[in-house]
Amino acid sequence: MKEELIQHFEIIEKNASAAQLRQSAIDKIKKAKQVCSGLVATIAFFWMMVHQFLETLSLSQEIERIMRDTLIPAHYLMIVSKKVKTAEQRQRIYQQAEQLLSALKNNTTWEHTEKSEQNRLSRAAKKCAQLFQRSSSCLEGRNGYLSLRHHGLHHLSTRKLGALTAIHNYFITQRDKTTAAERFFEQKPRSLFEYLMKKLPTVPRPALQKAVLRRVA
Amino acid sequence: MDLIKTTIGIEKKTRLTIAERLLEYKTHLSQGMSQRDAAQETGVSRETLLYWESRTTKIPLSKSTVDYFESPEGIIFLERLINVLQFVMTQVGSCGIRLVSLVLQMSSLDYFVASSYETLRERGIKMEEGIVAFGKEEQSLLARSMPAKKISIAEDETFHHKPCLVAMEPVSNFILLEEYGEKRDAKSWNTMLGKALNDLPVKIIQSTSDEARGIVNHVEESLGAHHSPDIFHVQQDISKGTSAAMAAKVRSAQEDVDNLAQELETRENRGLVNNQRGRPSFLSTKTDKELEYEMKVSKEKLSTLQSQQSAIKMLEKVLEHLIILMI
Repeated sequence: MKEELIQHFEIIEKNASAAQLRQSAIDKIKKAKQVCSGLVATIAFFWMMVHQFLETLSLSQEIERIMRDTLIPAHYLMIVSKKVKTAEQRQRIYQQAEQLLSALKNNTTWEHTEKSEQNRLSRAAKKCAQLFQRSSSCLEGRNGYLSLRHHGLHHLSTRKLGALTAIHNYFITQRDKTTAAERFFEQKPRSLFEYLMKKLPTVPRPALQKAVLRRVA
Repeated sequence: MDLIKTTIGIEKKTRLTIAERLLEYKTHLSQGMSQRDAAQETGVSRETLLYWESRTTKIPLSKSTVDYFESPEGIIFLERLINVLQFVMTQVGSCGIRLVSLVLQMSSLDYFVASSYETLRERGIKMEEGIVAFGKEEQSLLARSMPAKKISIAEDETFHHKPCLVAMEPVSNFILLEEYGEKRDAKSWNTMLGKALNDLPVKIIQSTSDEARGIVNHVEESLGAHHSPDIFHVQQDISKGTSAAMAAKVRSAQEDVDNLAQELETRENRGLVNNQRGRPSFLSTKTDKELEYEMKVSKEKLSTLQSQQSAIKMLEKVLEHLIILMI
């Protein structure tokens, strides 16, 4: 894998030099190339963790093979399919995942496994696939959001930042209607808004005369 | 709660209590009681009840609207509506207080609730404090019954008036840490993340981030976890290093070709190669042959650059796929 990555980087470098790009551009490519060994180490770490996890499940050899070759890759592709840019790419990757899963129908060992056990294995495979975190793009998105809020307010106070964090964790929901806290703690938190309704003082009356005068003006 | 304390320390009845007492008083009146007896039955002085009643008559809206918003049900609805407006517009969304005030004025709700900037600002502060308190309370509450687990995190810094350290659990998108710090070195990361994870039964096994030394040291030395390089930055570096620079080169080569082609076309149309005597030159002094040779060289340069550009683009795509489908 490392060799393949380095080979591609070398071709990019060669083309960039041939096109007489600036040194800063070539430096950027070199900087990206340096990460190759880290990427490969991450893959090794991932498989080591998967190996450890599968051992704790004490599975038969055949089921373990299914986990490694089919279930984990399929679940990983499903996760990736939600992240790619275009609908076309999303669909293509999702189809690959489905193809992998449909191939299991012809596998006698899998077919003879009980439904509840199949579900348990599927959940375990999903957990394994989630171990491979190749990007901190979720944070880049968050940083972009904070930057916009900062721009609008000129200054984000510690209190405001804390409020934005709590809203992200306990109020904003995904398509499946779960909040980040619910997914992280694996239990439903209380409603943030109902909490506020109890804590906030009653709404004050207006100075009625002012409201009437405002209309006249 | 029947009473609330005002900012100057006086205890006052809540709006809901007032509405309930007023409703009770009106019911007694409708049953044929005198004002004095109805007031005694309600437990509020007659003068106060008459003042509460007269206050609503000053509102220049239809009687049914005023009656609804001054009834106990109306007040409960009004409270929810105002809280929703301010919460959604200023906390979830990014509207300012003045827009909330404008909504209240345009909808005539400012006859029933205070809509001034200062009132809404004070309420906004209380709302933010409530949200922050909820976050802290809920985290310690949920952490107690949370199953212990090993997690991966993503870490990064963003810069406003101070560096803001952000750590997130990427599977659930839960923000573990989002605070301003004085520095972004390993020590700051250790202290701040340690504080954020204090009550959580989690063990960090992996952290994905850019190659900032502070984060890498904090992950490898303090957390003892695996540091995964962020592919987002790899892709960004390659694209920054090549795309814009290559595009500029191709654009400039294309411009050269276009200019030469235009000059050749003009010469052909005019049938003139040499400049007319006494006229400023609008064509270069080069001969047709020289121009044609230049054109050939420029076209070759353009096609070489275009093929290099497409080769780099293709390799970027291949790399992206390799990285995405690494496992």
